[in-house]
Amino acid sequence: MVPLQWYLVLSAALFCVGLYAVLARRNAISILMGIELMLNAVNINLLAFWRYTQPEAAVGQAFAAFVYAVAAAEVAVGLALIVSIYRNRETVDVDEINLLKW
Amino acid sequence: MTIRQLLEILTVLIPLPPFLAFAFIVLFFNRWKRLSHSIAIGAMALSFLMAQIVFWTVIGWGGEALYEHPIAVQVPWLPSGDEVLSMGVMVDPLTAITLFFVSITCLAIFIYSVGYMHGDPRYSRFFAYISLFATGMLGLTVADNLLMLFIFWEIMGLCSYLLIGFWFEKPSAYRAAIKAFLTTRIGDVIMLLGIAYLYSQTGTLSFAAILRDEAVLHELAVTPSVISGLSVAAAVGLLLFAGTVGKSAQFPLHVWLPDAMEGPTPVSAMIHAATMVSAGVYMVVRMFPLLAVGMEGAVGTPPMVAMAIIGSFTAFFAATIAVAQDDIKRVLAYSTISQLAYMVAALGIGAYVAAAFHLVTHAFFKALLFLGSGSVIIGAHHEQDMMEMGGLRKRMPVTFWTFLIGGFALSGFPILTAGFWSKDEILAYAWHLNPVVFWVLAAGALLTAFYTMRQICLTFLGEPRGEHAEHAHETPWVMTGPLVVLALFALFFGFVGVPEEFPVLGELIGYNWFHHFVGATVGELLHHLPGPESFNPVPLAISVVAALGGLTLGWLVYGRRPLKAGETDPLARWLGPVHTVLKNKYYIDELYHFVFIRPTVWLAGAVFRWFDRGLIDGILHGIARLGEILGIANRWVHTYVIDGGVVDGSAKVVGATGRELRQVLQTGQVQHYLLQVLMFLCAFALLYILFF
Amino acid sequence: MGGETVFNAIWLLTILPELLLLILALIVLGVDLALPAERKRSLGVWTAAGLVIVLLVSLLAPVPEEAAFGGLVRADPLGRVFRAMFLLGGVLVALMSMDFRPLRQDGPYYGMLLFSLLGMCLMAVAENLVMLYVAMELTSISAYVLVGYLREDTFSAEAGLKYMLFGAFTSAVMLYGLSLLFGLTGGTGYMEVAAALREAPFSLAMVGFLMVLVGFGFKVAMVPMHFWTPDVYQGAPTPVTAFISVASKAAGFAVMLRAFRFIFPSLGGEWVALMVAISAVTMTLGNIFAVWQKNIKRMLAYSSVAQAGYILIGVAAASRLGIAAAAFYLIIYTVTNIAAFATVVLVSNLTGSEDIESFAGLSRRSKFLAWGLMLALFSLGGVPPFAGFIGKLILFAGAVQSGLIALVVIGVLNVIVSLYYYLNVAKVVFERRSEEEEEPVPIPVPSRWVLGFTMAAIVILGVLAAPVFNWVWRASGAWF
Repeated sequence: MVPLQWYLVLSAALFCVGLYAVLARRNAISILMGIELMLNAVNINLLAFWRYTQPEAAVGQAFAAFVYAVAAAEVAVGLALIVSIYRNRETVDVDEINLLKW
Repeated sequence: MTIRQLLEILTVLIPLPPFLAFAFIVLFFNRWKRLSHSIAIGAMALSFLMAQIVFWTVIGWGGEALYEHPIAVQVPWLPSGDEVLSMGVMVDPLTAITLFFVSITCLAIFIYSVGYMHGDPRYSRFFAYISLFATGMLGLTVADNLLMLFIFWEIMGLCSYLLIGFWFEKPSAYRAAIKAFLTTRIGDVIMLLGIAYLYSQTGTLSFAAILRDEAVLHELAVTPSVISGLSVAAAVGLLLFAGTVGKSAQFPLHVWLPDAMEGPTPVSAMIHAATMVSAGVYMVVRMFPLLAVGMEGAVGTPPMVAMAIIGSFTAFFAATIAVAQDDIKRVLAYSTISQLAYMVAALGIGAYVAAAFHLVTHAFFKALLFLGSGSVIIGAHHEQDMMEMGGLRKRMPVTFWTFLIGGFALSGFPILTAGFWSKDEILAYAWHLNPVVFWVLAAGALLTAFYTMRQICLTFLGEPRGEHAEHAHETPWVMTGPLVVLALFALFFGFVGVPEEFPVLGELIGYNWFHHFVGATVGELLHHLPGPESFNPVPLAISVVAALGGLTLGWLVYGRRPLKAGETDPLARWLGPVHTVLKNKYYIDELYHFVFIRPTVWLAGAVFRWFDRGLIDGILHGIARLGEILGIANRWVHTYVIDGGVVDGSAKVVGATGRELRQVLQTGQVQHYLLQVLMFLCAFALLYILFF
Repeated sequence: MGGETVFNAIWLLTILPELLLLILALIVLGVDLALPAERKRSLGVWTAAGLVIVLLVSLLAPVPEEAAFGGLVRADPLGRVFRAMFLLGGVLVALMSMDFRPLRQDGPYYGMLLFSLLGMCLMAVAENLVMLYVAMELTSISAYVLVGYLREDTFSAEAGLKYMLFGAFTSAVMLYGLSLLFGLTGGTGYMEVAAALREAPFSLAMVGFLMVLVGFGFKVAMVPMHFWTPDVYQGAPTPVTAFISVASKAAGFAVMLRAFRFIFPSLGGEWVALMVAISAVTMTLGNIFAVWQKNIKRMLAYSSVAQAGYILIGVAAASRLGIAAAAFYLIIYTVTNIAAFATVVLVSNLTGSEDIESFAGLSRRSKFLAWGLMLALFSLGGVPPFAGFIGKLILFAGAVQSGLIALVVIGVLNVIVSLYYYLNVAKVVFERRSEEEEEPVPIPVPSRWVLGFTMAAIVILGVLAAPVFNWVWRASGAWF
């Protein structure tokens, strides 16, 4: 079986990729996708830990399922907000969404 | 119901009527001026009556009996931890005497305000505020624990802010209000720290539980505090004293009091002479057993040493400034600072009763002087510059004679005035206990007499030097009446504290009532305090010489040949630049502005700019550069490997860099925020890796 | 979530307020369909009245002390204190929303408010990492919608987007931390995690802690997770700003206090040191930045950051008194901040501006409003005898008891700085004249209730703190 560490490294890498997208992409939708990647990294963690430490209890799986559900809700609301800002300003570039500052 | 129970109820009720008056005026009667002042004065009179009943009854019991069984009522109020912090009232001899003078001066000032504030557009509001103020002072007086004292103390601070800035159309008044509030607040918060520290050590803030319990006091005196070399008692004492420095305007927090003269004159009399500034001294007098615990012989504890130094210095220092002031109220303001400093210095050397005595007499004669100056201001059509006055003696006879009495009391004119007895007692103790303090205070006394005479001469003698003084008139009876009453106290109150050993008079009166009554407040401690064993004529002679010498000197300079209109102050001619320095109050305001206020404003701005632009942008720059390098590498590969167009590619890179930089300089972007969160997180993690 | 899951009907009592909130939300959404457009404003009354009932039920209904649903939730007394606090905030915000002109008065708005409250109530009683996460997300996602609710308003939309991105990011980081804690300990119940964490390697536990702290920090708006605060406070509809500033912050503190007490006691000294530092920095930065603001909502945003710093003093004290003080201060802060925002709502309705300058001459336009604002600012600034003073006093007392003298000194200095900008507003309200000062400010009935209640509470809690503090103090006993 593949050692647990490998999964954790994969998860950490995925988390960092997501993080980079969140910090570097200018498009709000891309940022949202970055956040999704971070959440997926969490899911890999959860499932790996579950499989390797507590295969008999369903806690890890349940946790991951909740994360999926919540992530879907978050994306829905996020997209709605992006649409509303696009209607106002005709842009989804977060660099230009900076009226509120200081 | 026994008499004691009746008194307990009365004591609880004392602060209440003015508070109700405040509430009713603010909520319902704002429009009706006459009704407002009737309610305010009626409420104050009620408080006055109750305070006097309590006072005269407990006098019958005598000091020791009252010390043994003080009037005390407690209700649990704020449970904190397992101990219940109860709120309550307590009347011991010190409270009784304070209630006596506070209620008299407050009532006099309330009545006087009817005349002074006549025609003011915010007449009702004024009475509401001073009613709230009276609540604060009366509540503070009867409070039986430090927390309650502090709350009422802050209520007075709030009123002071509202009243100094009462004529807020004047920018100077508004500035003075802010200055007063913030300056005293500095002292207050340090004091709050002291209270918190005391509470953390003893688990109680009740006066009775701390000050009357030998074991608790001893425990505090031997426990070392967080500051090395100081016991808990000393540390708490110093912190509490900081509150007094702020409230009673001692150096270096004295700057607010003279500016506070921007408020209406009754406010100056009430807040800045008779009551609020007295509260500062009252608090240290009240806490004296704690401040003095650990005292051995005549060697003071650290808080006492601090008080002796700050007190004697301020007494002299403020007196020198007063000499060169031309505004009638400012002279009085500095004299207040100076006189309060006498009390602080007296406590510092252990002259407990003398300090309390001066507190009472000072309240009477300083209220008298302030109200007198207010009468002058009203009579002379709102002229405050003494250089524009003169010749008011004939035009305002009642004001003149009462002011003269007040001035003589302030100077310590021998035998006849109350100020003499209290000041002489301080000096007698100082002579015995600390010669340095004695000479500084004596020099201060000389200056006090001098500037008082200068003020009287400039204001009342000679011929009018200004238009307003020319047409001055006596003020109505509501204003002169309180003056006369206060003048009586300024003359005769001193006789309750004539030392038994004093030649002739001492034997005649035979009993130093004040000493026995108020001294009983500290119980056994009184007998351990050092003091002159027997009557000593030397300090008495020096004090008489200082008072009379100062008055004579003032008369010679200003009275013998009164100033003509347009003539400069002879003192300015003789002292030259020194006078300029004094007139500008040693430039301390400017110094504070330069040393504290400007740098603070600058620092706040700089931190703001640095943090928001410098630091964050700097780091973002760094990161952008990293991205840029990556981007360059990326594009390098792109241009050479894929496009092969070198020139075109580098132009793109430059353009991209410029855009990136501009983007980096903008804020209000959510990604910058996220980046900062990440950086902080990494910094925390790094810290843990490094240190744990 | 143990091995055998036997359902016990008594568990429902534990989450009775949550169930009622859900029913209330459905009722409000249903009523919304039935009401004609011009009468939809009454939805605020429905919501507020319903919330009052839920509040009463949550206070009076008997609740089993032990954990319910296999350890997912535990409605212990302190959790119930927090729940009551959120519900009270909800009542006031619902009433306040009725008078905010730009807001569409419709079902989804009040529905979202209720869902967010539902999330908060669950946060207060959650005792399991999964429950905690779901409750926090329910709170946050509803709040994103509320912040961006003025779709046509570009500020509101921007604030919503920023809030959502910041929130989603921090919750992702927190979730990663939660997954590490789960991996380290193999459990999700607080007690299981705490027990296993004692054996776990320190550095990994600390990483998990720090990542979780990011999520909590976002909710309570502490440095360095405070960056969203000014932007979102300014852009959001004012009642929503009030809601986020009080209920959401209090919910953050509720989970933070519980997590620190029950998950991380083994990290003991380390997190205390960290919280002391964060508390000091939070109040200082908040106050310094607040001084420079021209927009009152932005100023109140920085002020709320500073207030979070004060409350963190109680968190750092980590004693029973500290925790009780933090909870008690949050109650005071709830009524105080709502009073401040209620005046902002009414003034901005009339002037169309949220600049501090637009409050000029307010004392002549409406005494009631001017005094409402003043009481709130004095209470925030810790002027006795108002509630904020007692709150700060107990917080400081808690810190002194735990030996954090330095933190108290910093706190006290901060209180002085804060007075400067609070008094500046006082100056504008009372001293500055304006051309429209003859025109009185109309105060609609719901706002009258909100302001009357909060003003009374500010004074009463200041003068007679005992009954409420007693209640909180007794509740905190269950944790020790």
